[in-house]
Amino acid sequence: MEITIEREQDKSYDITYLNPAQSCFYETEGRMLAVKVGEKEYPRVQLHRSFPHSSPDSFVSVRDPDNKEIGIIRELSDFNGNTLTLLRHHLDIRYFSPVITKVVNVKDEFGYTFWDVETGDGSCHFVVRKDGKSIVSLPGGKAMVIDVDGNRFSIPCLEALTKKEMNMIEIYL
Amino acid sequence: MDLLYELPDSDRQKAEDALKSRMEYCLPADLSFAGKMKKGWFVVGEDSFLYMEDGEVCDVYRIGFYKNYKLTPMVGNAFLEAEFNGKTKMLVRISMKYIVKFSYLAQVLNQKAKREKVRIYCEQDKVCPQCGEIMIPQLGFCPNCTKKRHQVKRIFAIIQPYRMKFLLISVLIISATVISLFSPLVQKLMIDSCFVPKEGVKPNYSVFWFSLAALVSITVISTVLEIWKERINAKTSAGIVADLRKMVFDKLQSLSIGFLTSQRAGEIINRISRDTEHIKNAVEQICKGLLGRLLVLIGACALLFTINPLMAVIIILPAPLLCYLQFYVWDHIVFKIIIKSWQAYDKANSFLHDVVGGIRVVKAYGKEQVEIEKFQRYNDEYTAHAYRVELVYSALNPISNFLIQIGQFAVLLVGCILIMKDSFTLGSLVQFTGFSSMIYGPLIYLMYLPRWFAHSAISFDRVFSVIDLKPEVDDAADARCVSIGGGVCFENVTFGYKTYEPVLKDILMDVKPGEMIGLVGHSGSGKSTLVNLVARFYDANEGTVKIDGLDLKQIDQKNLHSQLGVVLQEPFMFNGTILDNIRYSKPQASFEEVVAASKVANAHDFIVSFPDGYDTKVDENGNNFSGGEKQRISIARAGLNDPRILILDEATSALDTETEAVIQEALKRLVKNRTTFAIAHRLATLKNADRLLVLNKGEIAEFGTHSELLKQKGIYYSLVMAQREMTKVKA
Repeated sequence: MEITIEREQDKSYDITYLNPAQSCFYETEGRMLAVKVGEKEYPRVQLHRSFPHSSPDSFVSVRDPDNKEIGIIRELSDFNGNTLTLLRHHLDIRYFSPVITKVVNVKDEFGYTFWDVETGDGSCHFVVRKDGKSIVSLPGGKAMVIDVDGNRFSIPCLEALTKKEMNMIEIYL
Repeated sequence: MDLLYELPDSDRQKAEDALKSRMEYCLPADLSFAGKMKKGWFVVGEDSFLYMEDGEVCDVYRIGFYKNYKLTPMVGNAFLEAEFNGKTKMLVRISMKYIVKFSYLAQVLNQKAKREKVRIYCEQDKVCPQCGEIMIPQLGFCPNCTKKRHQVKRIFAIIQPYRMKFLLISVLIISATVISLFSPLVQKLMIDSCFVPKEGVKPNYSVFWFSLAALVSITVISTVLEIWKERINAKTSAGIVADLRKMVFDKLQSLSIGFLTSQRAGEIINRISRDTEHIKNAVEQICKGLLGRLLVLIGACALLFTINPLMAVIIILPAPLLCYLQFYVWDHIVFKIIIKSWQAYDKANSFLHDVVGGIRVVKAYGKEQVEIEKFQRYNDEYTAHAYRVELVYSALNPISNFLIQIGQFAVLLVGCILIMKDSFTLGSLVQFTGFSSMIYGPLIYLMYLPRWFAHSAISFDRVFSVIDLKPEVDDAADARCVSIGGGVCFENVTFGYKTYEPVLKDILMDVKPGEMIGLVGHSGSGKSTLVNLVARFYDANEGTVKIDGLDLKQIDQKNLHSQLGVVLQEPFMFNGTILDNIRYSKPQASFEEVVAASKVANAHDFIVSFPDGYDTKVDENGNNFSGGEKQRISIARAGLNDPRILILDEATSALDTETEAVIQEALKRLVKNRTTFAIAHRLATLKNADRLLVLNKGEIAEFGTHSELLKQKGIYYSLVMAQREMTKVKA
């Protein structure tokens, strides 16, 4: 009896993949992402990356406001054209992390590091706690810096930094 | 919380024109909808709000047209949203910098939309009075305005209690130095008077014996002074390191549970043990050598220049080059490698801590080899960095020695030439080389100094980064000790581990002394958070938690905790005996009290059946006891100090049914006449509760007795029915 129940439950753990054939994404007037899967309409959904660092475009979970999964987009590239642009836009809304283009100065004092950087959006000054977790080396030679407020800054390619910049940050990586 | 930022006059005018009212709230909105950083503003007036960018008003909205204003946190940013005609609209995007302020502003907008009384948030952000920068809450001072001399001041503050000992060490060093400077003078006297007297002058043997006696006396006195100094030095440095360790440990105890659980255990242990040890070494080096050697260096230099300025210059010539070389290598190479090696050491330590703690899991999955390989990688990383440091110094030190020797050879060369020209005596040359060796000794010592200081400077930074932290939960200035009756009251309490993500929302409840409250709800509904607030592990963001009508902040924390009892799902056992573990809550408890508490906890019988009874040693984490035994010991511990408030956090959920029944019986006795908050997923375990509080997404969904809640047929009813079904199926 118990075994039968477990098997029935197993079905609820099947992965539902969303593809262009059965799902249609669109943006509402209120700038929210919505999706119609088959006949069912979800007026507000969010995109969550399952592997934000190791494979950001794979297994993107589409979730309703109660955090229930509607389905998973196996690869973003399964979609194209405007839908792909829309999905990327909403992923950018969820995952905001300015790219550090230049490290100007890093000062280390009192258990915190004080960063002056240039990003794609201009100069930034922020403070990072030296706790071994706020500056993270990521796969593929990338790095992420999380400041005391929770803002995230990304360094897409550590090798692209100049020797001087690398000298400033390498001890924190 | 400052929710009214200053706008430039022209912008303010435009905003107020568009709002058709005075500006009441104004916050920077620093992200555009496209995700670009912008200098935008979100301005709220009497009944409208607007978003403006680059001095231009973009959108104006009527507050009352929208409802359910809410801040939605994303990853690295957030947005403010509201509902209009049942549809959600994104109003403004912001970075995490302003997220807390916007979460308060969302409340203001909701109050305005509902035409309720608006709560005024007029508390100003803590800014530095000198530079005006917003201070980091965890630091007690402004890092911008606190310069390095602050660190130096603190070092002096630490050594302050040992000032007399330092004074004595300094006197001994100065005495030893002055005495040692006499040695070359006596040697010169001996050589020029006895071995190579001037032509026509007979060797003076009385001077010889006098000189010999003087040299022996200098050596004996120097040795005695050295031994004396070493003894005081050892005592002083050991005292300083003990003080430092205590400071770090005391600070750790005062920090919040949130902070401590976010830290790696291995790293914290390193800061208490290894870093303080490095500081001790630095203090020892300073006491032992630095002062004395500097004195010798200065004294010998002065004497050398008096005897022969030319030769003095030749000797000192390599010194600046040597210093530059040492500092360059330290600054550009060694510093980073040392930090890297320490990081690797911390990682390896934390890894060890993890694996040893979870060794049963490792073995159960047969992952021993995988863990060995992982450790090998950490070990290799540390070894590689340590090797690099040695590699640098193995090249640097011979080069430095060579530079020093060049100076010595040059002195010998010039000295011999001068002797041949009869403008210098052999005694003078011996005296000169004696003084020069006095210079090179301290110089070589100074050469190694950066290495010693490297460790201590980094250690100082790591140790003080803990000491500098400000406890998040601090006693109020007027906090006092009270005898708790047990009445607990939550007055509109809102709390989130992150202020902008409330876990408990507007909790209003009144618990009478001696009442048992069962906390029910799904995982993440806020049950444990609620008891964390009762225990004052955290302070509420809004509202007040009161005990017997007194704000929790006004009760001394130690006093409060001494009247609390806690039984957790995973009971923790400290090293020591069973007796020590039970007495943990009341160290002065008599044997009679311990046995009585153990009997209440149904623990006495199994404890006395051990060969060593209450004196049985507890292995690490209590590995020599079963889960039920550990739980009963922890119940005895909780009951021993007769707590007025008791917290049972899933106390029986990890146990089998039979053991659970024994523990339930013990708990029933324990909770008698005590205010109790019991969390349990198995609702049957809450059958003794006077009232049940059902939490749903951080809000009180239902609150009443078992029968009242069943009648309501709400969440509690569904949970009870679901569990009954489950039991039937399993049966």
